[in-house]
Amino acid sequence: MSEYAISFQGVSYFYGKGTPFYKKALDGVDLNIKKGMITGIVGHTGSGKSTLLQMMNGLLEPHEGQVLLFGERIGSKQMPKRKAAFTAGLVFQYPEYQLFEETVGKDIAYGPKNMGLDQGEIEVRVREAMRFVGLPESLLEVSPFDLSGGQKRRVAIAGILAMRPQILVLDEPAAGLDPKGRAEIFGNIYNYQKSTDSTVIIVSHSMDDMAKYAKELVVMHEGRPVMHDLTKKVFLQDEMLKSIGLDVPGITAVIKKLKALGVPVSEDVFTVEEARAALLPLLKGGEDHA
Amino acid sequence: MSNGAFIKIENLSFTYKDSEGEGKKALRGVDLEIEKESFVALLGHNGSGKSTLAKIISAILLPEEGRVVVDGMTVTDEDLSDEDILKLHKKVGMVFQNPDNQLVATVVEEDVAFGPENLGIEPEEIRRRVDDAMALMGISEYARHAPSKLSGGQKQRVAIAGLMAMEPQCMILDEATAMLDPRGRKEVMDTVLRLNREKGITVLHITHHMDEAALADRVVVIDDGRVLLDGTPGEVFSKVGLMQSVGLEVLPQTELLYELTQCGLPLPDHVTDAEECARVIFEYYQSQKKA
Repeated sequence: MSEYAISFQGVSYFYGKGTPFYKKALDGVDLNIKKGMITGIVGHTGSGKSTLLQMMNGLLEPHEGQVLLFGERIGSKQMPKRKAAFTAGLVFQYPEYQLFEETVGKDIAYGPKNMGLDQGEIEVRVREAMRFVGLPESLLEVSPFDLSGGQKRRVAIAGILAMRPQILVLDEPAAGLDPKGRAEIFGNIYNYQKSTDSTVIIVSHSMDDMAKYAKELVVMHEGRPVMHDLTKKVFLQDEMLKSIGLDVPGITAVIKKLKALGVPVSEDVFTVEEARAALLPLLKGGEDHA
Repeated sequence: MSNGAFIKIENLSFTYKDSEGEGKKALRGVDLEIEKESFVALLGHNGSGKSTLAKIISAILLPEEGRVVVDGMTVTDEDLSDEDILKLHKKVGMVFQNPDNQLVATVVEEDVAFGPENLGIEPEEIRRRVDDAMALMGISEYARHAPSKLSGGQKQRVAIAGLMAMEPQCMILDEATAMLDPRGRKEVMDTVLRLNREKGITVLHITHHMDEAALADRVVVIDDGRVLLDGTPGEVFSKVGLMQSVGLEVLPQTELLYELTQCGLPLPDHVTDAEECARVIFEYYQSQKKA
């Protein structure tokens, strides 16, 4: 079996071929996403991220090239499209708009039901998925439409987790949430990945969140992955990121300035937590000598 | 400094009733004055009462108690006539979160003209206003485009141009940047800041993005239906522990200084600028080295 969860091999995709709106969304993409970790994908709107995402479970078919899940081409005998759809679970942006059932329990059960699982197994999975996203079981019989925005979002994510996909793909899972809701959703996803050792792919605009949660980072630009490395190594190329109009984590500006002033702090610092740990010994040095 | 209050909010309370008739208090006696020509950021976690406040100011909701006066006009009277509401909407315009929900026409310039048309303004005057508003928002080149073909940031600028064509004195942005990518957010913030600085438009900006709040003259934090904090961005962000306890965050540079002071280092806590943050850490580092 392949060491990669997802492989893109020479993948191209076009929108509006033969019209004035013709656009090459993906341009000969070669990309291998590793198993058992969180990989982040960043890039501008229009960089090809969403197209890339929709190919990961066979929703879109490449016009050129092929997409492989665990070494098997989507559409082949070993990985027919139906299997691909259950292997890679896709959580769209604002997934709560797609809730439709009468109760939270029924909504989360919709996916596993479609997989043809028996009732007992479905119930186990619904409860397990609710635990992963931090929804209490008391909500099982509640209408999803009576919940807050953040809770609805959790129900929608639980609906995908209940299918136990080997690959979980999320497009801006925290968009529109307040800071606490953001941190909770990302914390849930982080812990889910740790406890299941599954492969998780997150598209986000927040470099601070990527610094905290993603082990590897893919940078998309004009239909191609222009960088793919450990998240820290990508952020060290801040000039390159800025040149394509992307941000760096907020703390990077502080660390760069400190280095320029001659403070011997490692550049390898991208979160507040890391900055505190790196600066304390330097700043407390004087006291230790006293 | 003081330009006088443009919006006066006095002892405002509001309760939502759910389907079972049970009440949820959204506002509990809020007192607040928004100065003319100021740029105020309103922060608070989801459900804290921010949007309810904005909707009462725009006379979309009526309060349970208290009153709101906008530019001398009481907008919380139950018997507000249609004429009064029209008058209010000439003073205060609102931009909402989802750009797709507030554009009505099939062509950008027609969308921008929708507001002034409803105010019964002469066609020539509408033409002038629409052209001016589109130029101001940098969307003139899309005048004949379909709004559906625009990016989120462009759509929000069309929505704001539609408000500007009504020539309001105040603009309320209710999480108007929440669904935009970083580039779209910057487009909207740049244009709104410009309207505030150059045209003296009073801005009330509701947001979850602390970098946007840092651009305001003043930051007001609402929690559990009450005003919890009110001050300059530096003053409000220095209350890191309190902000975190109500589900908010501060800028990473401010949080870093807070973390360091928690470890016993005597550093200032009012800093919101990254360069300034580096400078105060550097100065302390220098003084320690000498000691």
